[in-house]
Amino acid sequence: MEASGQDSRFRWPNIPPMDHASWTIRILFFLFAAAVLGRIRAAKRGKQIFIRRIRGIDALEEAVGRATEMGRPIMFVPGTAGFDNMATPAGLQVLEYVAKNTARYHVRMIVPCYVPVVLPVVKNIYEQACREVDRTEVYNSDDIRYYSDNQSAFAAAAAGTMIREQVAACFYFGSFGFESLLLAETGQRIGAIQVAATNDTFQIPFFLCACDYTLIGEELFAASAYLGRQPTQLGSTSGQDIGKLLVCFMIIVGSIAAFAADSSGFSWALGLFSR
Amino acid sequence: MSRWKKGLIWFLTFFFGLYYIVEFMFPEEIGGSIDRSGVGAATAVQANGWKIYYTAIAGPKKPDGSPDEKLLTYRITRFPIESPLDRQVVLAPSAFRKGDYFGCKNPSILINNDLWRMWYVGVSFDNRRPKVMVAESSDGLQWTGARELIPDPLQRNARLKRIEDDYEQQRIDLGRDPQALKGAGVQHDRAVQQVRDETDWLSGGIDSVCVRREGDGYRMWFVGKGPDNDSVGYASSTDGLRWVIQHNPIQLSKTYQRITSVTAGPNRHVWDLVFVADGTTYWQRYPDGVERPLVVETGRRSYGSVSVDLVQDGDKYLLTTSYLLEHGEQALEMFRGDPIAGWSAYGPEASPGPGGYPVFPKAVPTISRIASWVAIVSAFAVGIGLIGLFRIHVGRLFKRQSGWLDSGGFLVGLFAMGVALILQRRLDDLGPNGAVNPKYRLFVERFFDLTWQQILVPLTATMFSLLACFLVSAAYRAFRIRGRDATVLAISATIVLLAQVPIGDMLTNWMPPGMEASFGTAAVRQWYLDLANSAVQRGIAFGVFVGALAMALRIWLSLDRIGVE
Repeated sequence: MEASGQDSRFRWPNIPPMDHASWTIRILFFLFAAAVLGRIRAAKRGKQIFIRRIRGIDALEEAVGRATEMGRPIMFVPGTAGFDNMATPAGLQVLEYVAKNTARYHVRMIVPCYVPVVLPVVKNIYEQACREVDRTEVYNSDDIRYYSDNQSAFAAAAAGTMIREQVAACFYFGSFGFESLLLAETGQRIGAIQVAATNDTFQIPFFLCACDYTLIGEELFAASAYLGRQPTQLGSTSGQDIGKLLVCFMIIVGSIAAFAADSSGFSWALGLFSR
Repeated sequence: MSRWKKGLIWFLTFFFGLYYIVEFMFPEEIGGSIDRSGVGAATAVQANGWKIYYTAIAGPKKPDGSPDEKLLTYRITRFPIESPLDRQVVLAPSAFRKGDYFGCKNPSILINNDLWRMWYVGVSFDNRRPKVMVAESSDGLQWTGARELIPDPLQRNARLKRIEDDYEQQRIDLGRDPQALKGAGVQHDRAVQQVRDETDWLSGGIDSVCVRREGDGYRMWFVGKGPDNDSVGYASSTDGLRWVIQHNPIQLSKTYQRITSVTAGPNRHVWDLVFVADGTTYWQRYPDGVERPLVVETGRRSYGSVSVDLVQDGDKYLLTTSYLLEHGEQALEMFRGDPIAGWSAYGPEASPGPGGYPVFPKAVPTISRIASWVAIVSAFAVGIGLIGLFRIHVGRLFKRQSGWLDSGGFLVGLFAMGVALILQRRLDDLGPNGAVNPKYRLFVERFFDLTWQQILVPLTATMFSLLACFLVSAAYRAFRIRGRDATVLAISATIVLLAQVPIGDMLTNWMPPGMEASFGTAAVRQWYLDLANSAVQRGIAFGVFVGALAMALRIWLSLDRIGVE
């Protein structure tokens, strides 16, 4: 068969399959968005919103203080995912807070990056944080490093840096794979204070075992609100809780409907939840 | 950061977020891709460049993911060959026409003095029975006057009724005497049988039409749906509207169960007849009457041909074919050539193209092009990273600072891996039969194998295997009983671990079978994993999803700006 014409052929754009929402999801989305935006508005109007104490986040300041006393740097790993994973922006918000603290106390912060696109964003956040606390001299762009997008190579490089620099504290905020344990165990061995927060349920046990403090699941997203006390973030965190209550209510009603469908033929009630 | 920059970031974030949210919110049935269930029978028309008219198939899916044939809608759609995404529906089914109530498919188009005429198959109100329809246009886009061309094959029912009426009349005339009827030569049964013989092969309707001009007249090839098997029929006409159907189907070398498409192309003084029977495309050159399989190399894996169309393009044919994909969807592909010299791929690559079923298919290329900026930014970031690495390590090497040997090793590794990959890629591009010195090929392959397979892969595996040691050390710390929580963790872990080894079974195998099934080590372990652990994992995952959704909402509405002053 001739090969002519192959190169000039029209090629379809390669995009992943598009998901479309069901009716339940559509309604839930709007209710949830209304809850979050409503609470943000309330917070902006001055409504006091309570967030419970998160010990792991309190430990951030303690760890920076320890690094200051020891005169050693700290390491902040913003996960191994890009911006398509919401854990990365959540981690970067915490990084902003830590960067301000380290800059204030003249502590070096080393940030190894796994995804190339994250690197310039981290640089920007770090530089801006230093400027905000009038410590521009602390900012050193060489401390924000791109290592590799190979998990093993990244873990090896980050762990090597930890040992060489003898970091006093390690913070892991973001999405992680198997490198979580490699990093956390290395940090444990060099005696660093470690705080971790991840949205990956498979990595949480590893961090729990190897770190001093671990934020579980949604605490990662609440961390920035807890630290910054910004009305937007406080309201959003409170809105999340309303959304969760709503879904809990649906779970209870759905369970009763399933029971009713089995026992008395109310299958239409169950059908409402499956649309 | 300037207000202009902030505004641009806000606008782009909001616009792209809105696009994806609207796409997500709309069900694919509303507005969605017109050919989400497949791209069916098509034909090419030469009018200011090639225009492809095809059958766009849309409809719900069965639970297994395949299209539900009973609920599919067929629309005739057109696109220019050079820009397949500019699709326009030109003829859609109408609730006011019984002939194409459920769909319009299998177009065959001829242009005569600015008059476009399209013969197509209508999926009728009458139990989705296929019927031959015709429509006309002046520009190929607006089609009017869609109507049934042949109301019922050979008007079989009308003819049978006429025979019955004649017979009844003659019975009345002859005083209802069977002997007298026989003596008068009235052959009722034979007349009925004759009509049945003539029309049985069309009793299921006419599917797939192909109309071609010859001299002042028109020729039509079509598929007749019979009670047991399908046949290829032939009809002729002087004006393209009133057709004389040949009573018997075209003689093929054997009987085919299912014929789905037929087309014909003029080849000097003879005609090439091509049809799809039982999933295979056959070709026959008149008048020899012998079928040969017609094979084309499709771009995607074909699970059987569905339709075929031949149009003359200079001294070659333009062949348009649709074929089944894995889940019963149909793809369209075009080829140029002829049955003897072979076929080469032509036009767009096999459709359906855009992944998934976007509501706004025309927006897909723009969005994906802009999304590819991420790849460009990534490439630049990698470049910057490389420059940084060179700066640090070359400096260290030349200044003989501590660790200069490691830096040298790194630079050698970086250079060797890069060269190995580039050389291997070039070799791959040339293919196994490319004109390359065998010694050079061997060298490149071994060099690549050494750097990647024998150095990088084992190193990666080594890092991964370190997990085993780290797991033990982490588990030791975790299982130390320091408080209430740690005690629960230690007990749970002990049970789960015990159930993994034979000794765990031995601990509870003294129990009666019923009791062991509920309280044995294996049962308790399973309970922990399936209920306790699973519930907690889902609870955490649920909190994460809710948190991520709120975060996404904040970023989309620019309530939170990561890395923006």
